[in-house]
Amino acid sequence: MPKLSCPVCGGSLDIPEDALPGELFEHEECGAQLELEVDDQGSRRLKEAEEIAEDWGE
Amino acid sequence: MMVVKAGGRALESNMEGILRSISRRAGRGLVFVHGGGDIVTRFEEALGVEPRFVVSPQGIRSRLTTKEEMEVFNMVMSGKLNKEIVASLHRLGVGAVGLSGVDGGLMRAQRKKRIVIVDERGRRRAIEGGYTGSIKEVNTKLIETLTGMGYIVVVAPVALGYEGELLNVDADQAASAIASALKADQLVILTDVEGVLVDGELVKEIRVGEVDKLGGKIGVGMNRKVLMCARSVEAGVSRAVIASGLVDDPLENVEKGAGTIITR
Repeated sequence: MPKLSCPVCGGSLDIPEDALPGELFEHEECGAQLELEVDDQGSRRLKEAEEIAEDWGE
Repeated sequence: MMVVKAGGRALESNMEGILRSISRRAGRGLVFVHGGGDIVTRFEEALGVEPRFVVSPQGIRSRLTTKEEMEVFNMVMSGKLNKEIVASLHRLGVGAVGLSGVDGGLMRAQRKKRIVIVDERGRRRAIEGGYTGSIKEVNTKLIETLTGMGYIVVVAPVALGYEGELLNVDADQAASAIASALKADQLVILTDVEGVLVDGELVKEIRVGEVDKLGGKIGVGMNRKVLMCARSVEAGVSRAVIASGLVDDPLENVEKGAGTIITR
């Protein structure tokens, strides 16, 4: 499984090949909530997940 | 002051009974918040707008409200349903004013630009949010002015965003926010079951401090209602009740002790 580095602690995380942009991961070592970003060239990196609301509509 | 909310299913099954029950208590200061998500879905299908639903990490299924869907949502909620309810109340002999949260800035909400869902593979993802929001402010002065004039205020769950956009807010949240802001005597949520059921048995009373323990024992939709009730009680509402909207006189039924009471 490909590894990406944690932007918070610098450690590494296993990210599945089929992970989609926006997919959220918790880095077990440091507890950071991370979001997968994929740019136009298809290169992948992790960023700290923003505080994101759940959806509450009717 | 009393705030009553009825969901679309209870209203479709027993609109006459619910509105008759409300009309009998018109003089006491009453706000009625209506749902109607299933009716919106039917109109979306008729208009060729494909409804899309998402599931939150807590397991709550809700509408992902696109701009096109918001147009239909507003037409059905603020227009068709809200005005039919107001007309029915007038037919029953009581004055009513129908408003959405947009009118007079009755409900101001913060749009959720990014939301977390659980996708079809069971993985958590952050996606662009639709037109849904969290209610931040309620114009209590407008409500108190209208109820002071003897009107029942009928509220559609559409809020005004801070960028002037229309937002879908669920009716449980709307009723809870309005009851909290008014420090209402009572919040009543009418639904299509007799209250909170655990293992098929009705729970008569839930204290706010016990709400967290219930989480896994009740369905996610009911859990949401309990959380909204608890939030309003914590904000100063004397008591909140979840009860059946399917009986002849739902509010009389509540007065006799039916349903689940959420208290401090």
